[in-house]
Amino acid sequence: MLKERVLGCFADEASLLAAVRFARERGFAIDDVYAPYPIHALDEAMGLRRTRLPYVTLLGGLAGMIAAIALQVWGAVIDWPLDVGGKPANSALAFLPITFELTVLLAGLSSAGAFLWRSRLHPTAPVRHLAPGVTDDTFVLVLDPAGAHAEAARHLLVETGAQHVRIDGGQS
Amino acid sequence: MAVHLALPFREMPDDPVDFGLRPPLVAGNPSLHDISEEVARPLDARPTLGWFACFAVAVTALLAGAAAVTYEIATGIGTWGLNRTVGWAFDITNFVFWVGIGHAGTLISAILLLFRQKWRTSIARSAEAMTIFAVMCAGLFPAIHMGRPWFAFWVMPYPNSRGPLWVNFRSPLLWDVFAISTYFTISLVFWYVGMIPDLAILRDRAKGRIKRTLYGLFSLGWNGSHRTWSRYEMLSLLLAGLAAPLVVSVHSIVSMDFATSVIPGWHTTLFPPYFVAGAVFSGFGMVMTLLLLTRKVMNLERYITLLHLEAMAKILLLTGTMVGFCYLTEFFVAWYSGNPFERYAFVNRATGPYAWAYWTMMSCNLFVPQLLWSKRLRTSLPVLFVVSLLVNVGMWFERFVIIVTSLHRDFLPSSWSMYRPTIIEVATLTGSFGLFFTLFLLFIRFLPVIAMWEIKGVVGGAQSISEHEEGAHA
Repeated sequence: MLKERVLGCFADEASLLAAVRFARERGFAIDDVYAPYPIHALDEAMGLRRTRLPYVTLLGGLAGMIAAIALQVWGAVIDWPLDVGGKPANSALAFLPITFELTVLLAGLSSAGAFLWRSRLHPTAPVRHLAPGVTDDTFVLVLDPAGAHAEAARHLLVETGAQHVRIDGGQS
Repeated sequence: MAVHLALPFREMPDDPVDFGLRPPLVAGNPSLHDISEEVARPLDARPTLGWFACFAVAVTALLAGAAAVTYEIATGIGTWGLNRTVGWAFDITNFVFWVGIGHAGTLISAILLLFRQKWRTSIARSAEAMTIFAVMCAGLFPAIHMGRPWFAFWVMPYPNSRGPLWVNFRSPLLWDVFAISTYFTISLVFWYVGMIPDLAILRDRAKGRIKRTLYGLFSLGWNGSHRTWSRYEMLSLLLAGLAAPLVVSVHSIVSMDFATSVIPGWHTTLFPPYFVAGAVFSGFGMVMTLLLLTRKVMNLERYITLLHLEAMAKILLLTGTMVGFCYLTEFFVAWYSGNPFERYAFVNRATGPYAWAYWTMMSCNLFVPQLLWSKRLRTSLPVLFVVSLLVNVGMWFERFVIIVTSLHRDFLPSSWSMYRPTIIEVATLTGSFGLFFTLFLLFIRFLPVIAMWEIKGVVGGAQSISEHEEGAHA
């Protein structure tokens, strides 16, 4: 199963970023980068596509809004039009607070759910430790040599100042 | 969030003056590893004696409350001091008080995040935890107030076999149900999602098997992949964007429980902003109290610095003054409206039988925070501690004043009466404090009080750029 991958560990953000940029210039495909905290400039350096999560939020919010309006109109106007102080049954303004709350609720839950689903995060997800300390203080760049020789990728990582380089998977 | 936290450094890396002018957000320039160690170490060690002492007090208070509530439910709400005229009193005061406390957490994590206030990093996690625990305490009171808490689910609209029968969607009390349950859910999601990377740090350094398994389950297999981080940051922004208007909506809706009635002193359009300002004020008061204790008990003085405390003191001063301004506006509007009932309600508040409560509120909320104009006072820890306690007291009395003074004088003088709490009610309030502090103490014992990954983002970004300026901008 194992795809051949070349790992390089870095001690700080700047050397990692420089290595990512350098590797891309040399035409290496970047499998992923592992870091203890989000590094903003990496999105661009790795050439990541902008996440589509906001569309999920929008759809979730719309679903919440429609559900809330439907629930209230059905309950208070159609099914059980209760006379409260002679006010019209369809007093739409009074439905706003609940509509707002359910919009936010469904938008938030669907975004969080979509994030977990897309990132394959769940309680029994296996933890792939690429290098010790990757959640603590180590930055790891994983190159996918794909066609090129793994040795070339290893060489590139050493050249950019990786403290520790390893080749994973492949024929070995 | 680190995206924004790190931005200014990137935009002006050639301007070293900027680094010199601002005191650092984290004292002493720790390494990334130091940060994990220092924040996580207290979770491995045996709790301090101070922690045990606090925990014992909190659990005792919680048990007293549980006993009082059990007695009240077994006997009926006649065990409370409520009467025909004052139908809402201690329980609803406590409810509004706790919901108010619950506002600072999301304000700090959402609104300050959107405004790019970097100093929020150190305090956001504990403030969010506080929010969740406070909302739990708040939720207890309406349930108890119903008298039959096992039917509490009746407040939810669900298909039932009692003929067409729905909850009243036009009632602010029902809006409250939706507002508070949504607020609780979204705050919980925000808090938990923010904690996943830190739980992974704890999982990776855990020695014992139980700890490793538990942290492993809750960290959801997090491995620090940047593809995940990138989406994670978007999720934080989205949740913050959703939570920010949510905070404002919750206390606005709580205020409508009062404002949509015709009771003098309640029937005013000022209520929503007035309640929101009060909620933020009380929330920051409680955050201040808790953080002053936490940084001491957990040795986190390096991360929760005077800078953070001073920034919070400024927010206390601002919101306290806003609340005070609302008190005065209420008085003005009562006079200007020409409505004798409205005028009476306010004159009665300030000079009637509950004047002591009114002036306690005025002193604690409007006058005491004015001390914070002085830089010397707002950087003194004992002063801040006392002020924060007084703010909590003052804001509790605000709700008491609003509820009890408006109710105890009906339109009909024949129904005028006085309210005084029974020992059961006092014990219930004590119990809610017990619950709150028990949960908070468990939180600081088992979960990282400070968002390690966010602090690393601030520290790592800055260090890396100052050391490798050439490399980063090649």
